Amino acid sequence: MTRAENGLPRAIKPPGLTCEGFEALLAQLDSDRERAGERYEIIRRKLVRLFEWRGCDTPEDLTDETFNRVARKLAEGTELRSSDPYGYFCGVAHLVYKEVLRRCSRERRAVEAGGWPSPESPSEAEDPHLACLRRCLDGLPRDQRDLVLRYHQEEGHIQNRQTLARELGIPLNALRIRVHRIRRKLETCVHEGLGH
Amino acid sequence: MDWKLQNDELLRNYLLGDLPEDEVDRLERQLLKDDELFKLGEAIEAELLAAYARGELDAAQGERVLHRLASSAAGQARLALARSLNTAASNPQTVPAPVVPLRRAAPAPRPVIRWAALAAGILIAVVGALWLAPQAVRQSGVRSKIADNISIPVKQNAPIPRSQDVEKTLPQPDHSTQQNERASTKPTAEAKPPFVIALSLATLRGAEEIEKFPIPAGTSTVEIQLDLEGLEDLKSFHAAVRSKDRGTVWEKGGLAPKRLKWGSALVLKIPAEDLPSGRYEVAVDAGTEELIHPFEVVRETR
Repeated sequence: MTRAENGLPRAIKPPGLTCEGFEALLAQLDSDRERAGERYEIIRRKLVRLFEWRGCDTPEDLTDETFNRVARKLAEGTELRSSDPYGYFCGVAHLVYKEVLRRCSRERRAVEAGGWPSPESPSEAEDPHLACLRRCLDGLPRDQRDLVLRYHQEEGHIQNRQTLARELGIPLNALRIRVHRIRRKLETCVHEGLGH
Repeated sequence: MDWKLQNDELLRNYLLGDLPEDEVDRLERQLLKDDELFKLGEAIEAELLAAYARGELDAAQGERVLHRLASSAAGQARLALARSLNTAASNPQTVPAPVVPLRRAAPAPRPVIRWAALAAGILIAVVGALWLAPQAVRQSGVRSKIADNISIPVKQNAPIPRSQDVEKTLPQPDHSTQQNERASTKPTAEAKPPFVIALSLATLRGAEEIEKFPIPAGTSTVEIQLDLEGLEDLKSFHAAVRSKDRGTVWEKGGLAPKRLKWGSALVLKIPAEDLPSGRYEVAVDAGTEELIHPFEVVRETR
């Protein structure tokens, strides 16, 4: 996600959508242009993840296609229900998903054919992610680094996590989300560190 | 709590592709709407990837994790990260220290206490100076000297910190008016500056007593400064002050963090009349969780 000078997310028009269509889409999301841009980016990010969770390997393309269709519907006079604009996006995303299901299935079959990493960890010397991750871990505040490492410790990790949650005085799910926040920082750092 | 456990199970089944289509539909609509649920979904996804990388899942589950969660380029990167994290955690280059709460249990030193220390230091300096060298310090000059933070003659082996030195070593709240008032020994007819209460959004509860804050008579505004250490990523907060007897006595949304001299803080300015003597808790909605800190107010009558 790119950001405007004011630090707010800048909405990027999906390919295949006219500027007018994109503006009409944003206008339906919020009357304030910047807030609409933020909402658009949130919906976009979530749709990408939903397509990923359904096993599609081109989630960005499918998300763009979803937005294009929603924008076309809006141009035809459909209005988003302000109480639940997400429901409409979700409905269109389902249609898109179903249409490409056969393609996804073919891709899945290709996936099943091999080329996937085995569960076994490669040796440290062979894993470029690990060296990068260690550098990123070093860049974290110590408490965050220790938390994420303790959370991922293999030995008795379920009890370990419960103990951690107790030590921090927070529910397990709050701990999960907290660790996830740190993990996302690491994900970004590793992504940048590996030059992607 | 039950719904959270149900969500946990529901999300896990969803991510593994074990939910019927109508439930998938309902859950995905909810995921789009509910940020917290969505974050929990991402957290559970990361755990499934880590479990797969550790070889903890059975063959069928492992296959579904691969096909559903690691089929995109981003998914593969997440799997690689999960694997690296497992390795780093099982073979750390440095041994992880015991984890302490991300936010300090108590910001140290607290501004209120620091001000008390500053005032005490100044008082000692004044008394000491008057006692040691009465002929050198005329009473009429004392106040202006303190106000200007100039040195006061003291005895050789007992260096008393000057207020400037104290300021250098102790981070100060950003209230110059308060500083002037407290440095002055003369009562003033001007309106009192806000009374500052500094609190930490500690998540570790039950280990400490509830702090009491005596609010001087005549105070019109109480300023609660909440230490945001560990929450710097968040840009907007909703805060409320609640009393067991009176419910919510103050609340405000869309609060942005402020950079005070001692760190990032959320500053709540509350009319003192809304805080009669009693126990309260300040609750801050920090995105994924509500952080609470109890405190007690004692209103001084004179």
